[in-house]
Amino acid sequence: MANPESPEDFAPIFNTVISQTDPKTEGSQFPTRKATKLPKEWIPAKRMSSAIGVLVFAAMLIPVAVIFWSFASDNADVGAWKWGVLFAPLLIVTRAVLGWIWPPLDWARRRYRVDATGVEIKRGVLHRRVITVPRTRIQHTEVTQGPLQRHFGLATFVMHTAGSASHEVRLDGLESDTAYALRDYLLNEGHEESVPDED
Amino acid sequence: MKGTKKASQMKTDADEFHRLHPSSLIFGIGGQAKSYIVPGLAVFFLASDNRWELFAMLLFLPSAAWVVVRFLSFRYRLAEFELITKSGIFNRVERHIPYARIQNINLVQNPFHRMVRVAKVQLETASGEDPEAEMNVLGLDQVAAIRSRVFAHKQAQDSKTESDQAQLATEPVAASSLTTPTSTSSDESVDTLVKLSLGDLLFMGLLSNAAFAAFAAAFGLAAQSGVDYEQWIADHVMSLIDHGWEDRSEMSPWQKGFLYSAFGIFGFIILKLLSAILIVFRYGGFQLVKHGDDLRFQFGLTTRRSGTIPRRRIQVLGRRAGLIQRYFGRFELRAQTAGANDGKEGIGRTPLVPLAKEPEFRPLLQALAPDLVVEQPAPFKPAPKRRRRRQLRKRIILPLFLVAAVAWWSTPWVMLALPVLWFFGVLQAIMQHRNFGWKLEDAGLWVRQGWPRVTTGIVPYSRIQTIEVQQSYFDRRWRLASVYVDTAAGGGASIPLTMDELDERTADALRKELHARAAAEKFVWN
Repeated sequence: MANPESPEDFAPIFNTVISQTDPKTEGSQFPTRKATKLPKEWIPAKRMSSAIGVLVFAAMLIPVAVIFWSFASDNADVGAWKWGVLFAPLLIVTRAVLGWIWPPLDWARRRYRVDATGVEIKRGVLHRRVITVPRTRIQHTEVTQGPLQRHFGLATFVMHTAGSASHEVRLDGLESDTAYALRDYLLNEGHEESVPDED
Repeated sequence: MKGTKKASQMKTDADEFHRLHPSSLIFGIGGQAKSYIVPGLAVFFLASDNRWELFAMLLFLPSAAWVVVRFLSFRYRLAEFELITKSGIFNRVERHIPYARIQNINLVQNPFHRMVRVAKVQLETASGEDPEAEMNVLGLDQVAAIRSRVFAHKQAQDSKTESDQAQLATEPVAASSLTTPTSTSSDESVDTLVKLSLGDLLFMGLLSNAAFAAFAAAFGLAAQSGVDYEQWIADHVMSLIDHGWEDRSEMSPWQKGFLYSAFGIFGFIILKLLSAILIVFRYGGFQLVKHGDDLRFQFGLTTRRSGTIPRRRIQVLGRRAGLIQRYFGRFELRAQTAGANDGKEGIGRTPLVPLAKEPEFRPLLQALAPDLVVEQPAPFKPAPKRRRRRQLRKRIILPLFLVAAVAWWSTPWVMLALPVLWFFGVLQAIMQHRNFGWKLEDAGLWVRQGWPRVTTGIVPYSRIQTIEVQQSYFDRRWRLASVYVDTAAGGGASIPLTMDELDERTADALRKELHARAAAEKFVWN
C-alpha cells in the first residue's frame, strides 16, 4: 500500500452494489438524479424571517439601552460608559446586514438528493455538513409549513429516525408540492422496509 | 383511616389488582428520610451558622405523606396478554404494557430489600430512555408471577416468529441475527459467559478511583462545615506520624517534604484499598449468563442488581482498556441498547463485562453478536499523517498561550509547566494517531481510538441510522473532515463512533459506502 491516505486505496472495500434501477414515477421529480438546489424563494423567505428576528431583537435591546444610558449618565463615576449604548445600534445593524447578505450564500451551498436508497442533504457556508438518511431507517415523515413559508409556498420536510442526535432530520425550504411529492415517493417505495416489524 | 378503607376495598378485587409490597411504605419513607433528615442533621452538627437548613427538614413531612398517597393509589394487574398499572391521584393513569413488548425485567435489591425478600423492579420496553414501569418495591413472589407471565408469553411468541422466519427467508432483504429474532425457542442453551473471581475484582478495584469521589465529598463537607480541617489534620494526623519530633518547626525542609509526601502516598494507598473494597462489594458475584437469546446478568454483594438484555436489542458493542489493563491483557466490554443508555442505573452505566481477558474477546463476541465475528480481521485504516501534524501543532501552541497568560497574571515560574504540558501533549497526539483506525468488516463498522484509554466501537450496518460528514472552515484548510455515525443507542460517550479528521475524500467515500450498506439492511426495533 503505497499511499494509504488516498481513497483509491480503500477502493476494494467500497464495493457494495446498490441497485440504481429506480422506477421513476411519471410526473414526479423523484428520484432526483443529481444534487438539487432549493427553490429561489428560499432566499426572500429567509431574509424576511431574519428581518423579523432583527425587529424583535431591536425591540428588546432598545429599552435596555435607554435604561443603561440614563443610569450611566446619572452616576458621575461611570459617566463615560454611557457611550456603550452605541453598541446597540451597531449590533442591530450588523444583524440586519448579515440577515440580508447571508441567505444567498447559504442558499448557494444547499443541496439535496433523493434516490431509492435514501436522502442526502448538504449545507453550510463555513462549517459544511452532509447528512445521509438511508430510506430503510426513516420511521415516519412530516411536512410542516409556518406562516412565512406558506406565504412563499414553501414547506419543511421532516424525517424521523430511530437515531439519537439525528432523530429528526429536516429538509427546510422545499416547494410545498415537492415536499408532498417527496413524502409520497418515500412512502410508496420505502413502505415495506421502513416500518419495523409489528406483531 | 383512609388506608383501612382502601385495604378492605382491595380485598374484594384481590384476585385482580395487586398493590406494591407493604414494605414499600417503609422503604419510601426511609428514602425520603435519607434525603431530608440526614443532610439536615449533618448540617445541624457540623455547621455553626447556617441553621436555616434545618427548616428544610420540615419538607420531609409532606414528602412522606406523598409516599403513602402514592402507595395507596398504585395498582397493577396481570391480565392475559398485558400488564395493567393504575396510578395517580389527580390524574388517574392507566397503563397497558403488552408482555410481548417487555424487554427487560431488571431487579435492584439492597440489603434491606433482601432481608424482607422484596426488590425494586424496572420493566423496560424499547421505547424511550426511562423504564416503562418502575415498581418500588415488590415481593419476590410477585416478581416471580410477573416473570413467568412475561417469559411464558415470550416463548410462545418466539415460536411464532420462527414460523414467520421461514417466510422471511424467501425475501431478499439481508437480515442478520442481530436484527431479527432467530430461532430462539430452539436455542434454549444456558451458558455462563463470564464470572468474576476475587482476583479480577481486586484488579478492577485497584484500578478504580471509587473511594476518591467519596473522599472528595467528605472533604467538601468539611470545607462547608467551617471546620478548619488543615488545623485538624495538623493536630491529629500529622502528630501521629511525626511523633518522634518534638517540634515540626525544627525539621529541615527536606525532612518536611519527605514526611508530607510519605503522608500523601500513604493516603493514596489507603484510598486505593478502599476503592478495591467498594468494587468488591459493588461487583461481587458478577456473572453474565446466556439464556438462549437473552443475556442475564447479576452482581453486587450489598445492593444486588440483576436483569435481562435481549441480544438483539444491542445496538453498539465496544471494548475499552486503559494503559494498565492493556499491559495485563484485560479489557472491559460495553453494550449499548436503545432503551437503556448511559446515565441510567442498570446496564447502561456499567459495562456489560467489567473485566475480561484478551483471549475471551472472540468467544464473547461470538456469544453476543455472532455476525460481527470476523474470521480474518482486516487491518485498521489509519488517519492521514497530516492529522497528526495538525494535532501536534495544536498541542504545542495551545499550552504556550495558556502558560503565557497565566504567567502574565501570576508568577513567571508557571513557565516551568510548559515542558511538562508539551511532553504529555505531544505523547498523546502521537499515541492517539497510532491507535486511531477504522475498518469495514462484513457485518459492521469498527472504530478504534483514544489514548491512554483505547476504545473500539463496533456497530452493525443494520444499526446505523444516519451518517454525517462535517467540515469546519479550518478543517477545509487541512483537507480533513469528520464522520459522525448515529445509532439508536445514542451519543453515549462510552463508545464513541466518531471518526475525526479523516482525509476529506475518504470521509465522503466512507459516508457513501456506509449509507449504501445501511440502506441495504433492515432495521428492526426488537
